[in-house]
Amino acid sequence: MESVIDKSSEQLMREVAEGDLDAFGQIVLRHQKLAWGIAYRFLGDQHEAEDIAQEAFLRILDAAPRYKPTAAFTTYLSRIVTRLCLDHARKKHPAATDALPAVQDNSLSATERLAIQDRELAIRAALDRLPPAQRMAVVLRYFDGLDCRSVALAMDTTVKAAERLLARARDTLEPLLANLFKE
Amino acid sequence: MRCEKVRLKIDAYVSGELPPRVIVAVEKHLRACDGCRQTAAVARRLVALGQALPIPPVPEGFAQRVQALARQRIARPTPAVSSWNLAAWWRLVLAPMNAAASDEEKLGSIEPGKQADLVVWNRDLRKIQAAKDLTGLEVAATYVGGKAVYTSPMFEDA
Repeated sequence: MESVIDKSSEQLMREVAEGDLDAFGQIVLRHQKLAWGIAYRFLGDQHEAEDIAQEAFLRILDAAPRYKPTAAFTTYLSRIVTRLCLDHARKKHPAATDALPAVQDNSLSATERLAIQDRELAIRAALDRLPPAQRMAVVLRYFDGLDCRSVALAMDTTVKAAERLLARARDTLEPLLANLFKE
Repeated sequence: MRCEKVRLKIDAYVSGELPPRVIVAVEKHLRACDGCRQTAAVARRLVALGQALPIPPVPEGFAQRVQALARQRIARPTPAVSSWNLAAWWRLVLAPMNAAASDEEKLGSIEPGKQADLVVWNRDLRKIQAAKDLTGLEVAATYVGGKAVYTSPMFEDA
């Protein structure tokens, strides 16, 4: 019998559509890092990011009977998380979070942790200067490592539109992150 | 190739997505244009910055919390469920019973001598004709081995 590990996410989604919650659990375990990563980097707040990532998976559950694998599952998930993040940003004015970025690596010295926090704060402040769509394009491309075509798919837009967003975002970010670029 | 087009294509160039002939055109432009070379350097630095910066791990217990919410959502369909395919929904409802019915001596029907594993709904499922009838459908109680493992607050006094 095919083990659940061998099954593709698209196959698992067919099983979720049949009511298989174990298959849904596998979907969550496999892709939680992707959903969380996009949401956290865009929102800068762990609690908000968890809410968004959680909602994304529940929407996937609700929509499972209608799911058609026209694109990779990761693209589908990225699109849902992206849309939720952008809707969230439009509802409230994005402000730089006051919370210090979490640095989880216990092997780091206090100095190293402070340096990472400073860098995170600088990036956070720079990202918050961007309009939501530019910010999302930057998060997907530079922090989640998506290529331009995947950025366009996740944002449900054209490659050209994604390229324009990135070009404008770079112009804003370059002077703001100049100190970090020197390191 | 003009600067305007190179600026738009610079990310695709840096990530190696461009077809060979376009790469040649971009590189020819970059050799002659300081501004666009700077743009390419910024794009590369942003990629490096993103790769170097760790994202905090997924909060502990995240998957379990989502799974618990999923179970609640399945047990108590929200209005969004009305857009589900009715046949798929039936399979969802009957899946536990079908799984149980594989052991016909002990499971699969409500009779003396059989294991009392059953789900009680607040409505007769056999009368569900359309997706709209799912609205308000709730699990009233769940019994495993004859003991109530879940009772809806609406039916605690039943």
